[in-house]
Amino acid sequence: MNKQLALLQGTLDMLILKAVSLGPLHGYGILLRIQQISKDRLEIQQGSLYPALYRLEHQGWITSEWGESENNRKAKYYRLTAAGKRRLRREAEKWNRMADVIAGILRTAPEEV
Amino acid sequence: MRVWSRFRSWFRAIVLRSRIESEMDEELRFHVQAFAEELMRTGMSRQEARRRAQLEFGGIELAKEGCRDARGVNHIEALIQDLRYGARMLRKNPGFTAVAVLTLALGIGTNTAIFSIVDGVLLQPLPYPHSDQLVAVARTEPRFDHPVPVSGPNFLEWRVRAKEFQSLAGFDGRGFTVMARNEPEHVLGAAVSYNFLQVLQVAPVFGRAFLEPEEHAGNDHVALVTNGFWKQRLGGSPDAVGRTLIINGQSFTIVGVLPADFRYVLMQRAQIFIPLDLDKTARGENFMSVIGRLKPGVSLRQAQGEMDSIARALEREYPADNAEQGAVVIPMLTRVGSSTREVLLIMLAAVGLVLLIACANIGNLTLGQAARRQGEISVRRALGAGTGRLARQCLTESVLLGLLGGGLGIALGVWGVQAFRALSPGDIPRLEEIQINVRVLLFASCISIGASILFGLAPAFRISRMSLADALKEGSTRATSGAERGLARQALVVAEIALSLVLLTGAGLAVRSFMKLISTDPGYDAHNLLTFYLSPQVRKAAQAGEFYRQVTERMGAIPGVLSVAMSRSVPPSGGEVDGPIVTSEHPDIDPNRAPDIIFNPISSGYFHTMRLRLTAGRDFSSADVPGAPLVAVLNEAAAHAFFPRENAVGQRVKLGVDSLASWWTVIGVVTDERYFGWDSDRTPTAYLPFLQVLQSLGDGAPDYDSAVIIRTAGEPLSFLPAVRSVMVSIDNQMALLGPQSMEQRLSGTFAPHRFNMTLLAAFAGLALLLAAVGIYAVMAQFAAQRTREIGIRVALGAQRMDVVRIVLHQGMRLTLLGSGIGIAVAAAATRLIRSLLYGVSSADPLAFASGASLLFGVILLACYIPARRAMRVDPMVTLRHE
Repeated sequence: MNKQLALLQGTLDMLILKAVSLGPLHGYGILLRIQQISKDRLEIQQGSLYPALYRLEHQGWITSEWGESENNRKAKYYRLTAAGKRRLRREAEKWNRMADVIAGILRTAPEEV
Repeated sequence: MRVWSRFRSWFRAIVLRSRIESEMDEELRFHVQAFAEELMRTGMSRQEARRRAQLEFGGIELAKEGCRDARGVNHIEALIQDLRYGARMLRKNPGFTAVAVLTLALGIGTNTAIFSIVDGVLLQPLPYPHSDQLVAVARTEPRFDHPVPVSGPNFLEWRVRAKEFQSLAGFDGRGFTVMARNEPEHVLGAAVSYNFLQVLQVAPVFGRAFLEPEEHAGNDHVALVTNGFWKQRLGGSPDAVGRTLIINGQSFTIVGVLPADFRYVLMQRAQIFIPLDLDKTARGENFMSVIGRLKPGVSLRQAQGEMDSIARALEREYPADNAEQGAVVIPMLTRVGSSTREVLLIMLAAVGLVLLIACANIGNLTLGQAARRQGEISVRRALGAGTGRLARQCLTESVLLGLLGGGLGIALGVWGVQAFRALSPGDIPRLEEIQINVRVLLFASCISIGASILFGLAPAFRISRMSLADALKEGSTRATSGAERGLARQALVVAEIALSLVLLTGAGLAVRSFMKLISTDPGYDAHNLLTFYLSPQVRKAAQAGEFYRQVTERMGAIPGVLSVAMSRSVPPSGGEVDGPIVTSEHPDIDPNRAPDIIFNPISSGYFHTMRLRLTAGRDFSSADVPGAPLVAVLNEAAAHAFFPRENAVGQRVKLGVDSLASWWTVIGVVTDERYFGWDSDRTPTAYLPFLQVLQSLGDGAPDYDSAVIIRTAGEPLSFLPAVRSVMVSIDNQMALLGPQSMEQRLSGTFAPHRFNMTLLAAFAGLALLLAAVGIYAVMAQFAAQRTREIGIRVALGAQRMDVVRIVLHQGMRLTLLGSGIGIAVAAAATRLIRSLLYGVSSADPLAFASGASLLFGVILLACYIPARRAMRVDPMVTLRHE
């Protein structure tokens, strides 16, 4: 397995929004979903997931309600709000633009300058 | 919507705190369990899986703390928690809490009281509409460093020419003799311009204000009275308007009654107002004050500019009287507070120092407390509490203490203001306006919280720098003697000692100055002298002469009266300053630079009655009457000032008052009397024969008032009834104005000094007490920490005195350092209170030395108690305990 990458600062929020945009998930589910999409290439501190969730909820991007887990246990499920959907779109756009710019800079050959 | 979600999350966090906590717990537990189950599916044992899951998750409490923070409500929640916890800690240490709260309450209470006085006297807007437009306009003259009165004709020119003012009004404070129920009574009042009320924007409740024509003779027998006078003397009925009042023997018609809340702030006790007739006053005769109301939007500077140009124009037009005379515009609020501003600000600074000392003291107590709580704090940190969180806890406790102390302090402040009002010698204006208002409460709360943050910072800072490993290692119950905390506490003690020495020195100076004041020989024999003023209602000089001849003769005949004299002014604070005096045969003296002089018209028995001693020449005699050569007697100060190298007797002097500007020949020199009200108490004085002055003034002078001084064989006030009945037999409409014994007059003059001294001494005493408590607490802990060391030393043969020396040595080191700093600061600070001092330099070594030795004595005592305790240490007990 490749060595896991540490998360860039500020990207965890975006990944959480993306993860819950595909359907309501509980905290542990979000962790699994991110690991699954990233094919386990990202290292996520489990403990840091929850403060991020609480922050996103406080800001109104996601909401939560208690539901039943796959094995019939009470679990708190997070869902994207309309504002969260817009936020995710904006963040993704920004990220893509930034990634393009950075990649462009790094691709530049010496003679192009 | 986002706002709503935040609000909802705050609301939930505060109201549903316990539910949210349990939900959070459940959520995190679910995560760990789900993770563990997954690990079990890979074949791990249940126990191992749970261990791994927990390990990978990280600190659960840390995550929870992160969640609480993320919700943005952690500070509110933490605050509630901290407050609860803090309250519990305070309840658990009632001794500490009581001392801290009481200390703080004393600090806040004194500050609240003094600030509310400063607020009421100096800051509160004056009790008139648009009071920011109100100003006082006064004359300036190079000889005086303060604004001086104005003459009638100059005021009238000002009133006509000034365009930046809505109106200008003149004011002349007077004492009136009013007939009430056939008894003459002395009532304070004033003569004012017709537009006086218009300037203040006050309207009478009954009747009307003065009209323009009433400013001139013939129409001017009208009066306005205050509400209080109307209720007490006129029965409070509306038909008082139109009634006649006998003022100074003449009939005045009451035209109006002023509102109940009306007071003229520049003469609070004025009860009767009559029109000010300026038609016959001279341009050189400066006696009245002027107030004005600026037009809306006109700045002080604009008004000053206009008055400057008016003054320059008047200087050109009337060079004889107006040379070098300027005009100054002062906000009325400033004018009202001018006499007390400095004293009040000094008091405010003094209580500020007391508060600082109180803070240092509580900071010290809290540091000691923090040392005892080291164990608790280490454990909380080990369990994951952040340093910020702990420091905040510490600050919360301080603020809680601050609020308790502040609440008690405000109560103390209310009481303090009442005490101040009751004890004040009456020289402070607007005293009845002082109250604990919103601004004062705001001030008190701000300083309570500010102070608690100040004294909470030291322990908070310490916590944030504390090394966890060291703290846990050092054990939980025994306080460590970490050099850092020791230093902080010692620094606080040094600061306390320095600050209280500053206050002690200031108080020492005030006490010294007061002692000097009361022990100074006034120059006359103040014992058994009865004094009062008379204001005969006569128009002719000859009538006045005859009146006073009768008074002196018939009062002198009262059994027990040794002698009677008349004098225009009575020491210690009376006097008529004018000048300059010009000397003949003396080219050295520049008339414009000649010293100021008091001239005092007296009757021939004056020196004998006051027991002043002639040092040269002769006393006035019955031959010095109108028509005879004009003669004068100088006091030694005047003789020395004008004729330093010659015999004054035989020289001639000329007084700078128009009506007295003839040559007077000096026939004698007497010893000085002291006028304590003046800058220099040995005031150069020229005594003139009363009858000759009357002749020079001529008929129609503004008044023929004079004081009568009676030397009695016994208690002077017991002669009052006899004196009164003689007065009635001469003139049944004549009141004795302000009858007092000379000793009463002296103590009245000293009263403000006594009051200031007492207040400063009380504040310094408070400071000393607090400093003593502070150093005691530190030394007690110091001694307790070194019990073991002392035990060993005693076991090794140290003598008891050696033990005492260890503790005292430490205490004295701090005291010496603090005193050194304190003396340096005091040397600079006491210069600011120079204006309060009489006859003492602000660097008076005795005040400094006595302040320092008092401090040393008290601190020695505070150190001796712990030292004695240390001395009694039983080495066996201590060593076994270890």
